[in-house]
Amino acid sequence: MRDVVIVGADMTPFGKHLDRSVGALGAEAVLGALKDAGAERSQIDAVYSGNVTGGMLVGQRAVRDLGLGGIPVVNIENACSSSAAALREAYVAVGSGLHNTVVVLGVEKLTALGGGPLPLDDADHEVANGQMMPAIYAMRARRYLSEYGLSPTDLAAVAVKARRHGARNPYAYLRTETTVDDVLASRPIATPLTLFQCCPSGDGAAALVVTAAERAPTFEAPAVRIRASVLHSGEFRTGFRDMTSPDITVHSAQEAYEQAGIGPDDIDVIELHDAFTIAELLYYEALGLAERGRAAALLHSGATTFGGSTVVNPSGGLLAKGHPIGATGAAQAVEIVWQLRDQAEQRQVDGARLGLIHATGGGLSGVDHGACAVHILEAPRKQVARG
Amino acid sequence: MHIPSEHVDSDSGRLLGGHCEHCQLSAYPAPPRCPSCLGPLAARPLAAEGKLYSYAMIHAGPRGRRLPYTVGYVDLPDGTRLFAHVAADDDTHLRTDMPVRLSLHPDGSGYRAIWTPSWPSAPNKEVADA
Ligand SMILES: [Zn+2]
Repeated sequence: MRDVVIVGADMTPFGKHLDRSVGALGAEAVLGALKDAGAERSQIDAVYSGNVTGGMLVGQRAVRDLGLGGIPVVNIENACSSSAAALREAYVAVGSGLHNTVVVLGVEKLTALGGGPLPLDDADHEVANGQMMPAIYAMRARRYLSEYGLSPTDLAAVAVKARRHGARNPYAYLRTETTVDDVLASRPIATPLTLFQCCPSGDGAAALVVTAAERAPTFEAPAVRIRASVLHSGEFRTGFRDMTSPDITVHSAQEAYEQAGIGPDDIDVIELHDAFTIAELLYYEALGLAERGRAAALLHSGATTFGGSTVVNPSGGLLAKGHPIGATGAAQAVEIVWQLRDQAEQRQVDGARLGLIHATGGGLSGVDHGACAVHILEAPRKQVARG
Repeated sequence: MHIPSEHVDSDSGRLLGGHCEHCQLSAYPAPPRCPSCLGPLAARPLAAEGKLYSYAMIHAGPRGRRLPYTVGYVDLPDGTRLFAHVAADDDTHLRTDMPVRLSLHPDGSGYRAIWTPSWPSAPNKEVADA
């Protein structure tokens, strides 16, 4: 595999885009990423598009009006990891030498569904009997709180941090801060989870331009190197499963650290999949930031907010930025690219050199999650002034 | 939750799971084949008592379902984990790892299954599920 870099990144704000089609949202993000890279359309060899609910040919609908045609446009559905899976396909295609420069798109328009929890496959035994994603996370939360003697205020603190970060992010859906009391007083969804502990869905799009490292100088933006790109599916178990240790994230992260030749202590900034408050705590442990049972202590120490050793979800994460599912993985990558280029403005993590992206999800009984993608990105080399 | 009559052993009145003799693996509902060796599964009655691994009371649920209702995972002594509806008007009476017991009530073409905490102090009322 040759070295692969990201040379273009852009996204639409997340939120309600009632007057825009999924194609129009996607086109805006792709155009932004091409401009950011200074890329000519003739340089684009393929498009990898992640989407879940938009129906047929979402990628083509997004790029048709941009004059991108006559090339492979591949539509990828992998639940919450759809556009993270698209990024991985781009990495494989460019790294193998099949293509030189490709576009990754993630786009979703969930307001088109009319709100509420996402519909899952009702041929699934659990789903047919009332299972839903908030309840799965609520059961993880209940078990975690009882195993480690924690309380719902520990969960609420995750939402408070997310909203504090999101308030600094013009691309976030929810841009107001909140308090532990308000989080706990918001209406119950699946106890112990309340409304403010569940991510808002919304609409949005994010796009990246991915190319081979040797071609990076032909583009305008600084090149962010992809140090690791991992995609795993969940493993079926019919018996006991430790719901406090998300195994698909544990083995995906392990492989990503091995690929990059680094460990969790080397990471400066992370965008992880905080679909619900409990998720952030479980993922601290699964990603190796905290020992088992120590995630809440890590959060309370301030280590995962601005000024801490590993800033988690500077964008506000899914809880504040929103979760238009197919767009999420690409948007996480856009945020980390901006962080590593020192372009994240009020939410910039000082001196960020290595960033990790984690997108996982998909409700399927018998597995932890349907899919999980982990990427590790490295900041551009500093330009050395020549005398 | 609704259980089709073919999932219930008429002699013992217990749920029927799938069991692989070779892998010593059981599952409910029985998958079409053993996920470990891909061999056939034999029907086997499951224990009617287990431990409540975790639970959640759902207040905002799928359309058409009466709210709230409580779901959980029950671990049986043979290692099988079941998705379950749990009888609870108030989930503050529930605890992780508490013993629970299955009751099956005839319901149309099959049964309605609900797991009830078997602690003497716990309330024994059932909630109707949709
Ligand atoms: Zn077997």
